[in-house]
Amino acid sequence: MIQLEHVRKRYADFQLQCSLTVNSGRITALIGANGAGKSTLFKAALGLIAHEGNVSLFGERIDQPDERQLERIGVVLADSGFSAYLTLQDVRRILKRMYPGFEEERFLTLCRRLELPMQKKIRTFSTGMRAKLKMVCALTHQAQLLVLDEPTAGLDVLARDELLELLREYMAEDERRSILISSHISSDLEPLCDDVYMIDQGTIVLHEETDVLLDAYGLIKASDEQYAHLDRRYLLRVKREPYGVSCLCRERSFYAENYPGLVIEKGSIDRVMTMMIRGEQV
Amino acid sequence: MMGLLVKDLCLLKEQRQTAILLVMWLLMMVFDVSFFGDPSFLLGFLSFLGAIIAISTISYDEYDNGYPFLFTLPVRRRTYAAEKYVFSIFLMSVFWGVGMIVGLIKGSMGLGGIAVEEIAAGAWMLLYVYVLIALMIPIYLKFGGEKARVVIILFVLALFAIIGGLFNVMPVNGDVPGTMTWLLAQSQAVLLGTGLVISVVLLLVSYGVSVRILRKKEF
Repeated sequence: MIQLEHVRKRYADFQLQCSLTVNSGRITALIGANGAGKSTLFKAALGLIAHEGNVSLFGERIDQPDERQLERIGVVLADSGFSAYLTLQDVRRILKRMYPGFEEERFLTLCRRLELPMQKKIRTFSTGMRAKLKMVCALTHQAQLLVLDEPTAGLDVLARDELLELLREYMAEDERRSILISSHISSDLEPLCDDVYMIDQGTIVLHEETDVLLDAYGLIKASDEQYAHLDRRYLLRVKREPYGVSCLCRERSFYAENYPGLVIEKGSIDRVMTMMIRGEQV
Repeated sequence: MMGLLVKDLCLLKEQRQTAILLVMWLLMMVFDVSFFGDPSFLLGFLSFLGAIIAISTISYDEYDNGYPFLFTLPVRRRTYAAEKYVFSIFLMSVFWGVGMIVGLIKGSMGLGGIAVEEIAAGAWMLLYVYVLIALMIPIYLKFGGEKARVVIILFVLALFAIIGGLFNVMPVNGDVPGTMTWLLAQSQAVLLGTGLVISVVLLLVSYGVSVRILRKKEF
């Protein structure tokens, strides 16, 4: 669906340098701290910024996507949307003329379901309402690919759950559809995504299947003595702690079987990300 | 293109103050055009108002970091540029047309509106504003709404300085330049036709510059 190969973007104080692939029928997450390069990566993928390296959309190499390709993508950007001076009624009229596949009935139904008023100006909307509107726009023109940068930012738990449910419904309608999604709330992504990319300082530090990450990865909490005798083959990162050393490992079961008494916690996106960024390489 | 035009028409609703100004202007035309002496001034002002309203939609687009999202909609950058010209020409022509019709109706009723022989003078006003938008749109796209105003003022001042300078170096008592002789010898229709061709060429060059500016722009 979308592929970034050795994409590089240099700014005075930051450099993005990464490759990433979103395959058909998959939900791929991009995770990283604020300023890690998530939005820059999204902008490079959508042709909003000039960059080195290649971007392919639907199998075609692109510099800036054309109308035909953009019609097949639904986009949510964290810090940009429709003019705040428009109403939802205006947005409906605009989308109707922008997208040949615009589903007007679905648009109206979703607005009702998410309690978005049609006649009020967007500038009167709360953060949550604006986030919902962005999602409605992305979901109502039969897009094959969704590119969602922080779609749940600023939302409460209930609203987040509502939007994630919309994404599940979207994927269930057509198994060839794909989503590239970023979020700093990992609990949103763990039950949703097929694979996860972690980005730090503009570089992808880890790419893993979500199932593998949750099942096989683990966090070992070892005293200095325990760490000294530890097999380091599957250790990815280590970090000094008041009690000794914490270690991110890839084969949790190996350590559980061979080191009885060792404290090993199950992997989670947050734990893995924290260790991948804060920890030292073994 | 249609989606963008609909968006800009929706944004027009925001400009109520300008609409009030426009209505007042039309009322002035209806009741007392003689106050301004030359009715073509009124038409020029109306066209200019149309152009300003249309171009201000660029500021609405960029407001609150709107551009990145706008260019994720199925809109190519050259389409966006083209729409700004189409919308500007449409709006200023509509304003000019309404003013012209009101003026002509008043003129035909003998109430001091626009006489038939003054239509050409009114048409020149439209062409001047075409040239103005050819200048303004690329500057707005390059510098954004805020800075563009300053740049346009500086540009116009520089233009006047250059033209003034040229007149100063031209011989005062010498022969009238060949171009001027040609201009003076032509009929109003030929001059208007030439003006129209020049305006269209300038708009096309301006469009090319705008597309170039947008293609290089990063969001």
